[in-house]
Amino acid sequence: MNTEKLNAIKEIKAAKNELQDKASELDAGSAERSKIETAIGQLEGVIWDLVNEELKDIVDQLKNESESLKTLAGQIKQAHEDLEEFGEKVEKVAKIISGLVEMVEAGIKAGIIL
Amino acid sequence: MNQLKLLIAIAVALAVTGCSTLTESQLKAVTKYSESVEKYSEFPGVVVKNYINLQHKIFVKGNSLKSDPKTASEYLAKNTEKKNDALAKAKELDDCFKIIQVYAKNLGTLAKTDYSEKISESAEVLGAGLDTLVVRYNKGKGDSKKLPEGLGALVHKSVVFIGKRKMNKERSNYIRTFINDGEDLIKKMCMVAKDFLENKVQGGWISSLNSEVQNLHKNMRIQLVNENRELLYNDTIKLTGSEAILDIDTVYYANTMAYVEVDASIADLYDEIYALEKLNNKLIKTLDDMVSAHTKLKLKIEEGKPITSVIGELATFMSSVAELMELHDSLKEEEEETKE
Repeated sequence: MNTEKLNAIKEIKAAKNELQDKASELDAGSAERSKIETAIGQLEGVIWDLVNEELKDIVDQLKNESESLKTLAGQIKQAHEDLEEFGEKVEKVAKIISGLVEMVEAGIKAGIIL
Repeated sequence: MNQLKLLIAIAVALAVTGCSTLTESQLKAVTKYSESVEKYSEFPGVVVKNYINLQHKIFVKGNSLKSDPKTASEYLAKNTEKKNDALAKAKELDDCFKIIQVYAKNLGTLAKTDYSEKISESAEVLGAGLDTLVVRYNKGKGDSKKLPEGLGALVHKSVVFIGKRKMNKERSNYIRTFINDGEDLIKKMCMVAKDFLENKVQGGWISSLNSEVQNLHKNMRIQLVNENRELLYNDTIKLTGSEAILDIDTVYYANTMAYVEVDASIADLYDEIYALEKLNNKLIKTLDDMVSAHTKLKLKIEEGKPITSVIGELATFMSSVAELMELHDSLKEEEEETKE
Protein backbone atom coordinates (compact mmCIF):
# COMPACT_ATOMS: atom_id res chain seq x y z
CA MET A 1 0.00 0.00 0.00
CA ASN A 2 1.27 3.45 -0.93
CA THR A 3 1.69 5.17 2.43
CA GLU A 4 2.84 8.41 0.80
CA LYS A 5 -0.58 8.85 -0.82
CA LEU A 6 -2.25 7.79 2.40
CA ASN A 7 -0.45 10.48 4.35
CA ALA A 8 -1.05 12.97 1.54
CA ILE A 9 -4.82 12.91 2.13
CA LYS A 10 -4.33 13.35 5.87
CA GLU A 11 -1.87 16.20 5.34
CA ILE A 12 -4.07 17.94 2.81
CA LYS A 13 -7.01 17.71 5.19
CA ALA A 14 -4.89 19.15 8.01
CA ALA A 15 -3.81 22.04 5.72
CA LYS A 16 -7.43 22.57 4.68
CA ASN A 17 -8.49 22.76 8.35
CA GLU A 18 -5.82 25.40 9.02
CA LEU A 19 -6.91 27.42 6.02
CA GLN A 20 -10.54 27.19 7.16
CA ASP A 21 -9.56 28.53 10.58
CA LYS A 22 -7.67 31.35 8.92
CA ALA A 23 -10.64 32.20 6.64
CA SER A 24 -13.00 32.37 9.62
CA GLU A 25 -10.78 35.03 11.20
CA LEU A 26 -11.04 37.25 8.14
CA ASP A 27 -13.90 39.48 7.07
CA ALA A 28 -16.49 37.81 4.84
CA GLY A 29 -16.08 38.92 1.24
CA SER A 30 -12.56 40.32 1.74
CA ALA A 31 -10.04 39.69 -1.03
CA GLU A 32 -7.72 37.76 1.27
CA ARG A 33 -10.55 35.50 2.49
CA SER A 34 -11.67 34.90 -1.09
CA LYS A 35 -8.14 33.71 -1.97
CA ILE A 36 -8.13 31.33 0.98
CA GLU A 37 -11.58 30.02 0.02
CA THR A 38 -10.30 29.34 -3.51
CA ALA A 39 -7.35 27.44 -2.02
CA ILE A 40 -9.76 25.37 0.14
CA GLY A 41 -11.83 24.50 -2.94
CA GLN A 42 -8.65 23.47 -4.75
CA LEU A 43 -7.53 21.29 -1.85
CA GLU A 44 -10.92 19.55 -1.82
CA GLY A 45 -10.41 18.87 -5.52
CA VAL A 46 -6.96 17.41 -4.80
CA ILE A 47 -8.50 15.11 -2.16
CA TRP A 48 -10.98 13.82 -4.74
CA ASP A 49 -8.13 13.37 -7.25
CA LEU A 50 -6.21 11.27 -4.71
CA VAL A 51 -9.28 9.21 -3.83
CA ASN A 52 -9.88 8.60 -7.54
CA GLU A 53 -6.24 7.63 -8.06
CA GLU A 54 -6.29 5.24 -5.11
CA LEU A 55 -9.48 3.64 -6.38
CA LYS A 56 -7.95 3.24 -9.83
CA ASP A 57 -4.91 1.55 -8.22
CA ILE A 58 -7.01 -0.97 -6.32
CA VAL A 59 -9.24 -1.75 -9.31
CA ASP A 60 -6.08 -2.25 -11.46
CA GLN A 61 -4.63 -4.56 -8.82
CA LEU A 62 -7.79 -6.64 -8.75
CA LYS A 63 -8.50 -6.66 -12.47
CA ASN A 64 -6.14 -9.52 -13.44
CA GLU A 65 -7.45 -11.91 -10.80
CA SER A 66 -11.01 -10.82 -11.42
CA GLU A 67 -10.66 -11.46 -15.18
CA SER A 68 -9.10 -14.90 -14.53
CA LEU A 69 -11.93 -15.75 -12.14
CA LYS A 70 -14.44 -14.62 -14.77
CA THR A 71 -12.81 -17.02 -17.27
CA LEU A 72 -12.93 -19.78 -14.66
CA ALA A 73 -16.62 -19.10 -13.99
CA GLY A 74 -17.20 -19.42 -17.75
CA GLN A 75 -15.33 -22.75 -17.81
CA ILE A 76 -17.51 -24.07 -14.97
CA LYS A 77 -20.62 -23.12 -16.94
CA GLN A 78 -19.21 -24.89 -20.00
CA ALA A 79 -18.42 -28.02 -17.94
CA HIS A 80 -22.02 -28.04 -16.69
CA GLU A 81 -23.29 -27.82 -20.27
CA ASP A 82 -20.92 -30.61 -21.42
CA LEU A 83 -22.13 -32.94 -18.67
CA GLU A 84 -25.73 -32.23 -19.57
CA GLU A 85 -24.90 -32.94 -23.20
CA PHE A 86 -23.59 -36.42 -22.34
CA GLY A 87 -26.95 -37.32 -20.79
CA GLU A 88 -28.66 -36.04 -23.92
CA LYS A 89 -26.45 -38.28 -26.10
CA VAL A 90 -27.45 -41.38 -24.09
CA GLU A 91 -31.07 -40.27 -24.44
CA LYS A 92 -30.59 -40.08 -28.21
CA VAL A 93 -29.20 -43.66 -28.34
CA ALA A 94 -32.13 -44.89 -26.25
CA LYS A 95 -34.57 -43.24 -28.62
CA ILE A 96 -32.86 -44.87 -31.64
CA ILE A 97 -33.09 -48.31 -29.99
CA SER A 98 -36.78 -47.80 -29.12
CA GLY A 99 -37.38 -46.76 -32.71
CA LEU A 100 -35.61 -49.90 -33.85
CA VAL A 101 -37.72 -52.06 -31.52
CA GLU A 102 -40.89 -50.46 -32.90
CA MET A 103 -39.69 -51.15 -36.45
CA VAL A 104 -38.95 -54.82 -35.64
CA GLU A 105 -42.34 -55.23 -33.99
CA ALA A 106 -44.04 -53.66 -36.97
CA GLY A 107 -41.99 -55.93 -39.28
CA ILE A 108 -43.02 -59.04 -37.34
CA LYS A 109 -46.66 -58.03 -37.35
CA ALA A 110 -46.50 -57.45 -41.11
CA GLY A 111 -44.77 -60.80 -41.63
CA ILE A 112 -41.64 -59.19 -43.11
CA ILE A 113 -39.51 -60.40 -40.19
CA LEU A 114 -40.06 -64.00 -39.12
CA MET B 1 -17.39 -68.35 -15.88
CA ASN B 2 -14.56 -66.66 -17.75
CA GLN B 3 -16.99 -64.00 -18.91
CA LEU B 4 -18.05 -63.43 -15.33
CA LYS B 5 -14.42 -62.96 -14.31
CA LEU B 6 -13.93 -60.51 -17.14
CA LEU B 7 -16.99 -58.54 -16.08
CA ILE B 8 -15.81 -58.54 -12.47
CA ALA B 9 -12.42 -57.26 -13.61
CA ILE B 10 -14.06 -54.45 -15.61
CA ALA B 11 -16.31 -53.53 -12.70
CA VAL B 12 -13.39 -53.50 -10.26
CA ALA B 13 -11.40 -51.32 -12.65
CA LEU B 14 -14.34 -48.95 -12.90
CA ALA B 15 -14.77 -48.87 -9.16
CA VAL B 16 -11.09 -48.18 -8.57
CA THR B 17 -11.04 -45.27 -11.01
CA GLY B 18 -14.30 -44.18 -9.40
CA CYS B 19 -12.50 -43.69 -6.06
CA SER B 20 -11.76 -40.18 -7.21
CA THR B 21 -15.44 -39.23 -7.31
CA LEU B 22 -16.78 -36.85 -4.68
CA THR B 23 -19.07 -38.11 -1.93
CA GLU B 24 -22.55 -36.72 -1.24
CA SER B 25 -21.23 -34.76 1.73
CA GLN B 26 -18.44 -33.27 -0.38
CA LEU B 27 -20.93 -32.20 -3.04
CA LYS B 28 -23.16 -30.75 -0.30
CA ALA B 29 -20.17 -28.77 0.98
CA VAL B 30 -19.73 -27.24 -2.49
CA THR B 31 -23.43 -26.34 -2.64
CA LYS B 32 -23.30 -24.84 0.86
CA TYR B 33 -20.22 -22.80 -0.04
CA SER B 34 -21.96 -21.57 -3.18
CA GLU B 35 -25.10 -20.55 -1.27
CA SER B 36 -23.19 -18.70 1.45
CA VAL B 37 -21.03 -16.76 -1.05
CA GLU B 38 -24.17 -15.83 -2.99
CA LYS B 39 -25.62 -14.40 0.23
CA TYR B 40 -22.80 -11.87 0.61
CA SER B 41 -24.47 -8.63 -0.33
CA GLU B 42 -21.89 -6.10 0.76
CA PHE B 43 -18.53 -5.87 -0.91
CA PRO B 44 -15.64 -3.36 -0.53
CA GLY B 45 -17.34 -1.10 -3.09
CA VAL B 46 -20.15 -0.44 -0.59
CA VAL B 47 -17.88 1.03 2.07
CA VAL B 48 -16.09 3.11 -0.58
CA LYS B 49 -19.42 4.41 -1.90
CA ASN B 50 -20.55 5.32 1.63
CA TYR B 51 -17.25 7.08 2.31
CA ILE B 52 -17.52 9.10 -0.91
CA ASN B 53 -21.06 10.21 -0.09
CA LEU B 54 -20.10 11.17 3.46
CA GLN B 55 -16.99 13.04 2.33
CA HIS B 56 -19.11 14.90 -0.21
CA LYS B 57 -21.65 15.81 2.47
CA ILE B 58 -18.85 17.26 4.63
CA PHE B 59 -17.48 19.28 1.72
CA VAL B 60 -20.96 20.58 0.86
CA LYS B 61 -21.47 21.71 4.47
CA GLY B 62 -18.04 23.32 4.43
CA ASN B 63 -18.95 25.06 1.20
CA SER B 64 -21.51 27.13 3.12
CA LEU B 65 -18.59 28.70 4.98
CA LYS B 66 -17.33 30.25 1.76
CA SER B 67 -18.33 33.90 1.68
CA ASP B 68 -17.46 34.39 -1.98
CA PRO B 69 -20.50 33.09 -3.96
CA LYS B 70 -18.48 32.60 -7.15
CA THR B 71 -15.85 30.43 -5.44
CA ALA B 72 -18.55 28.50 -3.57
CA SER B 73 -20.50 27.62 -6.73
CA GLU B 74 -17.42 26.97 -8.89
CA TYR B 75 -15.82 24.45 -6.54
CA LEU B 76 -19.08 22.77 -5.62
CA ALA B 77 -19.68 22.02 -9.31
CA LYS B 78 -16.08 20.90 -9.99
CA ASN B 79 -15.80 18.70 -6.93
CA THR B 80 -19.21 17.10 -7.40
CA GLU B 81 -18.01 15.93 -10.81
CA LYS B 82 -14.90 14.40 -9.22
CA LYS B 83 -17.06 12.77 -6.56
CA ASN B 84 -19.17 11.16 -9.30
CA ASP B 85 -16.00 9.81 -10.98
CA ALA B 86 -15.06 8.21 -7.65
CA LEU B 87 -18.54 6.64 -7.36
CA ALA B 88 -18.13 5.09 -10.81
CA LYS B 89 -14.80 3.60 -9.70
CA ALA B 90 -16.42 2.23 -6.54
CA LYS B 91 -18.86 0.38 -8.80
CA GLU B 92 -15.93 -1.08 -10.78
CA LEU B 93 -14.48 -2.29 -7.49
CA ASP B 94 -17.78 -3.95 -6.62
CA ASP B 95 -17.98 -5.57 -10.04
CA CYS B 96 -14.55 -7.18 -9.49
CA PHE B 97 -15.93 -8.84 -6.36
CA LYS B 98 -19.26 -9.86 -7.82
CA ILE B 99 -17.30 -12.26 -10.08
CA ILE B 100 -16.62 -14.34 -6.96
CA GLN B 101 -20.38 -14.77 -6.63
CA VAL B 102 -20.71 -15.88 -10.26
CA TYR B 103 -17.86 -18.37 -9.75
CA ALA B 104 -19.48 -19.77 -6.60
CA LYS B 105 -22.94 -19.90 -8.19
CA ASN B 106 -21.68 -21.88 -11.20
CA LEU B 107 -19.73 -24.20 -8.91
CA GLY B 108 -22.95 -24.82 -6.94
CA THR B 109 -24.88 -25.65 -10.13
CA LEU B 110 -22.19 -28.15 -11.09
CA ALA B 111 -22.39 -29.79 -7.66
CA LYS B 112 -26.15 -30.00 -7.27
CA THR B 113 -27.28 -31.00 -10.79
CA ASP B 114 -28.26 -34.66 -11.12
CA TYR B 115 -26.58 -35.38 -14.46
CA SER B 116 -27.35 -39.10 -14.28
CA GLU B 117 -31.12 -38.55 -14.10
CA LYS B 118 -31.39 -38.41 -17.89
CA ILE B 119 -29.13 -41.47 -18.24
CA SER B 120 -31.30 -43.50 -15.81
CA GLU B 121 -34.46 -42.65 -17.73
CA SER B 122 -32.85 -43.37 -21.11
CA ALA B 123 -31.28 -46.62 -19.91
CA GLU B 124 -34.68 -47.80 -18.72
CA VAL B 125 -36.14 -47.17 -22.19
CA LEU B 126 -33.12 -48.93 -23.71
CA GLY B 127 -33.47 -51.96 -21.40
CA ALA B 128 -37.22 -52.28 -21.98
CA GLY B 129 -36.64 -52.12 -25.75
CA LEU B 130 -34.03 -54.86 -25.64
CA ASP B 131 -36.25 -57.06 -23.46
CA THR B 132 -39.06 -56.74 -26.01
CA LEU B 133 -36.63 -57.81 -28.74
CA VAL B 134 -35.43 -60.78 -26.70
CA VAL B 135 -39.02 -61.93 -26.08
CA ARG B 136 -39.73 -61.65 -29.83
CA TYR B 137 -36.53 -63.51 -30.70
CA ASN B 138 -37.21 -66.31 -28.21
CA LYS B 139 -40.74 -66.92 -29.54
CA GLY B 140 -40.88 -70.29 -31.23
CA LYS B 141 -37.20 -71.06 -30.44
CA GLY B 142 -36.15 -74.14 -28.54
CA ASP B 143 -34.87 -73.62 -24.98
CA SER B 144 -31.28 -74.16 -26.10
CA LYS B 145 -31.49 -71.34 -28.61
CA LYS B 146 -33.27 -68.88 -26.38
CA LEU B 147 -31.51 -65.73 -25.26
CA PRO B 148 -31.46 -65.18 -21.51
CA GLU B 149 -34.38 -63.13 -20.36
CA GLY B 150 -33.45 -60.04 -18.40
CA LEU B 151 -30.77 -59.00 -20.89
CA GLY B 152 -32.44 -55.60 -21.17
CA ALA B 153 -32.36 -55.20 -17.39
CA LEU B 154 -28.64 -55.96 -17.42
CA VAL B 155 -28.04 -53.39 -20.13
CA HIS B 156 -30.18 -50.92 -18.17
CA LYS B 157 -28.19 -51.50 -14.97
CA SER B 158 -24.86 -51.44 -16.78
CA VAL B 159 -25.59 -48.22 -18.64
CA VAL B 160 -26.81 -46.57 -15.42
CA PHE B 161 -23.81 -47.82 -13.46
CA ILE B 162 -21.19 -46.92 -16.03
CA GLY B 163 -22.93 -43.70 -17.01
CA LYS B 164 -23.29 -42.56 -13.40
CA ARG B 165 -19.66 -43.34 -12.67
CA LYS B 166 -18.49 -41.54 -15.78
CA MET B 167 -20.59 -38.47 -14.97
CA ASN B 168 -19.61 -38.44 -11.31
CA LYS B 169 -15.96 -38.88 -12.13
CA GLU B 170 -15.99 -36.10 -14.70
CA ARG B 171 -17.97 -33.81 -12.41
CA SER B 172 -15.59 -34.54 -9.55
CA ASN B 173 -12.56 -33.82 -11.70
CA TYR B 174 -14.08 -30.55 -12.87
CA ILE B 175 -15.00 -29.45 -9.33
CA ARG B 176 -11.54 -30.30 -7.99
CA THR B 177 -9.84 -28.41 -10.81
CA PHE B 178 -12.10 -25.36 -10.53
CA ILE B 179 -11.78 -25.14 -6.75
CA ASN B 180 -8.01 -25.47 -6.97
CA ASP B 181 -7.78 -22.89 -9.74
CA GLY B 182 -10.03 -20.48 -7.86
CA GLU B 183 -8.11 -20.77 -4.58
CA ASP B 184 -5.21 -18.43 -5.35
CA LEU B 185 -7.34 -15.96 -7.27
CA ILE B 186 -9.89 -15.56 -4.47
CA LYS B 187 -7.19 -15.44 -1.82
CA LYS B 188 -5.25 -12.74 -3.66
CA MET B 189 -8.34 -10.65 -4.40
CA CYS B 190 -9.50 -10.80 -0.79
CA MET B 191 -6.07 -10.03 0.61
CA VAL B 192 -5.53 -7.04 -1.71
CA ALA B 193 -8.98 -5.71 -0.80
CA LYS B 194 -8.42 -6.34 2.91
CA ASP B 195 -5.15 -4.42 2.82
CA PHE B 196 -6.94 -1.58 1.00
CA LEU B 197 -9.77 -1.45 3.56
CA GLU B 198 -7.44 -1.63 6.55
CA ASN B 199 -4.72 0.75 5.45
CA LYS B 200 -6.30 3.07 2.94
CA VAL B 201 -9.98 3.30 3.86
CA GLN B 202 -9.64 3.00 7.63
CA GLY B 203 -6.10 4.32 8.07
CA GLY B 204 -6.32 7.23 5.65
CA TRP B 205 -9.84 8.13 4.66
CA ILE B 206 -12.07 7.39 7.67
CA SER B 207 -9.57 8.27 10.40
CA SER B 208 -9.23 11.83 9.10
CA LEU B 209 -13.00 12.39 8.96
CA ASN B 210 -13.43 13.02 12.69
CA SER B 211 -10.91 15.88 12.83
CA GLU B 212 -12.37 17.29 9.62
CA VAL B 213 -15.91 17.30 11.03
CA GLN B 214 -14.66 18.77 14.30
CA ASN B 215 -13.01 21.60 12.40
CA LEU B 216 -16.13 22.11 10.30
CA HIS B 217 -18.28 22.30 13.44
CA LYS B 218 -16.01 24.87 15.06
CA ASN B 219 -15.99 27.10 11.97
CA MET B 220 -19.76 26.82 11.46
CA ARG B 221 -20.19 28.02 15.07
CA ILE B 222 -17.74 30.89 14.48
CA GLN B 223 -19.72 31.86 11.40
CA LEU B 224 -22.94 31.97 13.43
CA VAL B 225 -21.35 34.08 16.15
CA ASN B 226 -19.96 36.50 13.56
CA GLU B 227 -23.28 36.77 11.74
CA ASN B 228 -25.08 37.35 15.05
CA ARG B 229 -22.65 40.02 16.09
CA GLU B 230 -22.91 41.78 12.75
CA LEU B 231 -26.69 41.65 12.79
CA LEU B 232 -26.93 43.05 16.30
CA TYR B 233 -24.41 45.76 15.57
CA ASN B 234 -26.26 46.92 12.46
CA ASP B 235 -29.65 46.83 14.15
CA THR B 236 -28.68 48.58 17.38
CA ILE B 237 -27.35 51.50 15.37
CA LYS B 238 -30.79 51.98 13.82
CA LEU B 239 -33.03 50.99 16.75
CA THR B 240 -33.54 52.45 20.21
CA GLY B 241 -35.30 51.55 23.49
CA SER B 242 -37.84 48.72 23.54
CA GLU B 243 -37.45 48.11 19.80
CA ALA B 244 -33.77 47.39 20.27
CA ILE B 245 -34.43 45.01 23.19
CA LEU B 246 -37.05 43.11 21.17
CA ASP B 247 -34.69 42.88 18.24
CA ILE B 248 -31.87 41.55 20.43
CA ASP B 249 -34.21 38.88 21.82
CA THR B 250 -35.34 37.87 18.34
CA VAL B 251 -31.78 37.63 17.05
CA TYR B 252 -30.67 35.57 20.06
CA TYR B 253 -33.62 33.20 19.68
CA ALA B 254 -33.00 32.71 15.95
CA ASN B 255 -29.33 32.17 16.63
CA THR B 256 -30.00 29.57 19.32
CA MET B 257 -32.15 27.63 16.88
CA ALA B 258 -29.38 27.82 14.29
CA TYR B 259 -26.87 26.44 16.83
CA VAL B 260 -29.21 23.54 17.57
CA GLU B 261 -29.55 22.78 13.88
CA VAL B 262 -25.82 22.93 13.27
CA ASP B 263 -25.06 20.74 16.28
CA ALA B 264 -27.69 18.19 15.26
CA SER B 265 -26.39 17.98 11.69
CA ILE B 266 -22.81 17.58 12.93
CA ALA B 267 -23.93 14.86 15.37
CA ASP B 268 -25.46 13.04 12.35
CA LEU B 269 -22.11 13.21 10.60
CA TYR B 270 -20.35 11.64 13.61
CA ASP B 271 -22.97 8.87 13.58
CA GLU B 272 -22.30 8.27 9.90
CA ILE B 273 -18.55 8.08 10.52
CA TYR B 274 -19.15 5.54 13.27
CA ALA B 275 -21.43 3.47 11.00
CA LEU B 276 -18.85 3.63 8.23
CA GLU B 277 -16.11 2.37 10.55
CA LYS B 278 -18.36 -0.47 11.67
CA LEU B 279 -19.19 -1.43 8.09
CA ASN B 280 -15.53 -1.35 7.15
CA ASN B 281 -14.59 -3.66 10.03
CA LYS B 282 -17.43 -6.01 9.08
CA LEU B 283 -16.22 -6.14 5.48
CA ILE B 284 -12.64 -6.85 6.56
CA LYS B 285 -13.98 -9.84 8.51
CA THR B 286 -16.15 -10.90 5.56
CA LEU B 287 -13.07 -11.01 3.32
CA ASP B 288 -11.28 -13.21 5.87
CA ASP B 289 -14.35 -15.46 6.06
CA MET B 290 -14.51 -15.77 2.28
CA VAL B 291 -10.89 -16.96 2.07
CA SER B 292 -11.38 -19.32 4.99
CA ALA B 293 -14.59 -20.80 3.48
CA HIS B 294 -12.81 -21.52 0.20
CA THR B 295 -9.78 -23.06 1.92
CA LYS B 296 -12.04 -25.29 4.03
CA LEU B 297 -13.93 -26.36 0.92
CA LYS B 298 -10.66 -27.20 -0.85
CA LEU B 299 -9.56 -29.35 2.10
CA LYS B 300 -12.97 -31.04 2.20
CA ILE B 301 -12.88 -32.05 -1.46
CA GLU B 302 -9.34 -33.32 -1.07
CA GLU B 303 -10.53 -35.88 1.47
CA GLY B 304 -10.56 -39.44 0.10
CA LYS B 305 -13.82 -41.24 -0.66
CA PRO B 306 -14.62 -43.75 2.13
CA ILE B 307 -13.89 -47.27 0.87
CA THR B 308 -17.21 -48.51 2.35
CA SER B 309 -19.21 -46.40 -0.08
CA VAL B 310 -17.12 -47.70 -3.02
CA ILE B 311 -17.66 -51.30 -1.89
CA GLY B 312 -21.40 -50.69 -1.46
CA GLU B 313 -21.83 -49.32 -4.97
CA LEU B 314 -19.73 -52.11 -6.42
CA ALA B 315 -21.60 -54.87 -4.53
CA THR B 316 -25.01 -53.78 -5.85
CA PHE B 317 -23.77 -53.84 -9.41
CA MET B 318 -21.90 -57.14 -9.03
CA SER B 319 -24.92 -58.99 -7.62
CA SER B 320 -27.06 -58.11 -10.63
CA VAL B 321 -24.23 -59.13 -13.00
CA ALA B 322 -23.74 -62.41 -11.14
CA GLU B 323 -27.47 -63.23 -11.32
CA LEU B 324 -27.48 -62.83 -15.07
CA MET B 325 -24.28 -64.76 -15.58
CA GLU B 326 -25.66 -67.65 -13.55
CA LEU B 327 -28.77 -67.62 -15.68
CA HIS B 328 -26.64 -67.59 -18.82
CA ASP B 329 -24.44 -70.45 -17.55
CA SER B 330 -27.44 -72.59 -16.60
CA LEU B 331 -28.83 -72.11 -20.10
CA LYS B 332 -25.47 -73.14 -21.58
CA GLU B 333 -25.33 -76.24 -19.43
CA GLU B 334 -28.82 -77.21 -20.56
CA GLU B 335 -27.75 -76.67 -24.19
CA GLU B 336 -24.73 -78.98 -23.76
CA GLU B 337 -26.85 -81.62 -22.04
CA THR B 338 -29.31 -81.52 -24.97
CA LYS B 339 -26.42 -82.01 -27.44
CA GLU B 340 -25.14 -85.03 -25.51
